[in-house]
Amino acid sequence: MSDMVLAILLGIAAAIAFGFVPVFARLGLVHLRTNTGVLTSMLAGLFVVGLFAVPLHIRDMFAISMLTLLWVAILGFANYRLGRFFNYTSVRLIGVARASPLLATAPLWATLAAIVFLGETPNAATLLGVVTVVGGVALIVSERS
Amino acid sequence: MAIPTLRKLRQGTGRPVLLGMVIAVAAAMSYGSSQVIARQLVTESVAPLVVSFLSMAFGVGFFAVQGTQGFRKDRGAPRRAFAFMALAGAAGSAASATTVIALSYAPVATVSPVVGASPLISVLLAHRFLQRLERVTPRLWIGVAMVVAGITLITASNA
Repeated sequence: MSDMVLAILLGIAAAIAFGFVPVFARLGLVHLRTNTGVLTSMLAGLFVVGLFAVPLHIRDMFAISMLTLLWVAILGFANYRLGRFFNYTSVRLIGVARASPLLATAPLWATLAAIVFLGETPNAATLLGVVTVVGGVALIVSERS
Repeated sequence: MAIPTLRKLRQGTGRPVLLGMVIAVAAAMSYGSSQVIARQLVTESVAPLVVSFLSMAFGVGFFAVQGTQGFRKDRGAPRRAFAFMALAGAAGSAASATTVIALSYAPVATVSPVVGASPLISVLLAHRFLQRLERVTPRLWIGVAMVVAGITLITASNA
């Protein structure tokens, strides 16, 4: 099996796993508060990552500089304290079908931030992608049911 | 820094659907900024698994107080609800790890469009398993497909 085929198969597995996340969250949040759901999911996720990270990289963890650790903490705040809390809150309020595509627009915001704050120039494909995403979001937002 | 809670946000608008969409976009913005920070950290030769584990540990720490209060209030909730949330967390972590491994075999331009199709899978699963909770209309399908196509274009063109 070539590297490319293996990468695509792994990508499909990742997409399926990511696809299940909001569905599981929606089912759990029927009975739980968002705060409880977020912490439960983070503890389970930490356990899974820890199974691999701790045996493989325990020394690397203690070799990190304080400045890098500060950035890791900021990442933890943005990705989990804000991102996951908002993610599950939106799934609870508007459901999987509407929340998932809106959540998937993260690369759009990263690209726009790069254009505004880093002065990057978007190419034609990026602009076409932005227009397509905005059109898709408009359709989702205008859905009344 | 004051962190908004669901109750406070609801009190502010009284319109859960619009509020839910605004919050979903806020989540996407948080994830977008996270991607920029994570990319910077990983290119500084910190192993992706280390970044993932430590940032999640910080996330647990940042959420400990509110989460523990939630646990106390939800003591009587069905165990399967906790199991579903644990599965959500485990699936998310497994997916992130699988993506990192996939990226070690092929460039972002190849892997990202495949992984980026996950909203289509979510909507498909919601259509199949969550019919009691939500309805997926043709308009939503088209919207989801357009978002996935657009994100694929953006990711591939920036790779």
